[in-house]
Amino acid sequence: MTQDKKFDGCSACHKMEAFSKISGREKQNLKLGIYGDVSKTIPSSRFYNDFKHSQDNDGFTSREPMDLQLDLGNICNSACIFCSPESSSTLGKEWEKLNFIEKSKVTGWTDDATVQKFCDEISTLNIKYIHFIGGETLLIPGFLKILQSLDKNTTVGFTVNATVWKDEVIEELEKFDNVHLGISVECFHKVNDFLRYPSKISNVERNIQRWMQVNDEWTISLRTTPTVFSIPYLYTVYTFALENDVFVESCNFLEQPEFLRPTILAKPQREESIQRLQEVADSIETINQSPNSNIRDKNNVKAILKHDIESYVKYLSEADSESFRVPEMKRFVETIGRSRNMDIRDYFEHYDKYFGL
Amino acid sequence: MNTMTNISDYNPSTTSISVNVKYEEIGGIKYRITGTGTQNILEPVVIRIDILDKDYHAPESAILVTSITIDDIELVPSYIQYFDYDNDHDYKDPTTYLGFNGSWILDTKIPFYRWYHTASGYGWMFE
Repeated sequence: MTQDKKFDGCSACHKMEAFSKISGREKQNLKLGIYGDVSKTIPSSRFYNDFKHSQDNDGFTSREPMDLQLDLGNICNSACIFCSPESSSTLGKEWEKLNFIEKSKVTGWTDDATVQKFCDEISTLNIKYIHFIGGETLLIPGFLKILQSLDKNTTVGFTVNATVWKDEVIEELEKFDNVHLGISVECFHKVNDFLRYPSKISNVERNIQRWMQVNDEWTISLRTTPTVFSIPYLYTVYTFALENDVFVESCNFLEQPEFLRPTILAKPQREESIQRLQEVADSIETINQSPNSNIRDKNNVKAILKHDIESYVKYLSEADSESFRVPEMKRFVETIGRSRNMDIRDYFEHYDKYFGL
Repeated sequence: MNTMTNISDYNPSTTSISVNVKYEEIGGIKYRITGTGTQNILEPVVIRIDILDKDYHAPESAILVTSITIDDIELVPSYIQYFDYDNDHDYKDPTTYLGFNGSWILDTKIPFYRWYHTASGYGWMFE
């Protein structure tokens, strides 16, 4: 890093930045006061001496953690086709049956004793932000107990799949001053049912509405993982977000599985998606640009949405086609479809037109 | 694209910022401007314009601030609400038209780029 070389591990962020999408790297830097002209903001950062210490000590730091991303394990009731067994136990079972993997595993560490040990240790730290990932957080044993152990000043972030509701967890979440809630949805179209099996978009939408009514102070983001099948309908997510004043967020442009990337579409096939997205972007009247990486600025929702939509337009317009991956996609989707008694053509009307019979 | 940083390339003790104020004099008016020029990046920015001994019976006179830049960042008009206008007419609204005796001050109290992060709504910064 100090030799000004790129790490493969950072490639997802670099790819996002190349298409003007705000990356995780930029978001984390912003929390340290680094933005814009880094030749000025790095020496201004209150963490400058910590960076220097870390550089001089093989990457080690003397600081305690402040910002945690906590993987609670893979217990999940969904089997989203773009997910992996590491993040979904249900998908793992299916992949085992299909011989995609040898043996599925339920992973996690949230047994009572370990959770208690974790809670004891975390109480000694000054944690500012803790983001939970799974699995489906609401289904994971220990999530509630960890929440109960946290100080109300801690900002809590987590993502749900909008198929589960647990009153006792939601009541506990109400104690926190700041909650960042991510709600996973790919699009408001029936293809969401194929992508996020076995959820039904009508139920998901109802639950999203329910979540939005819990607490006006919460920061809510619709979390998407755009794939070749959802990209023509991605505009529906932004339309919903605009109507409901919530954010849209995705971790990156899809890396794995490669054969589900939107870029397996040839460029002419992307035109309709581009046009729909551009129409939504053009409908947003805002004097604010999205000038920074704070994608949760509630005073700037429209500008942030516009910026995000335009990054997808740029991505679809400019990213090279990976249509050579289509045969692999078809084998996968048709195998998964047979396993679930679902035919992608019933959910994605462009299938034969885009990919041939 | 330069995406990785060698921290040793940066040194707070030798990095500076440049504060520039542009303005128009309206009528004959006595004033004093301080806090412009080059300063160390970790020093708080204190820009101060004092209007002195204005005679309110004389023809209209004032200082009209048209631009304040810190490095390449323009503060007029988006950040003028952060200037404190202490004057003898108790006029408190954000303005760049300084027509009363008194002082118009921006005091960031912290290094400029940390202040700008907060003033721009860039979200929270770790302590």
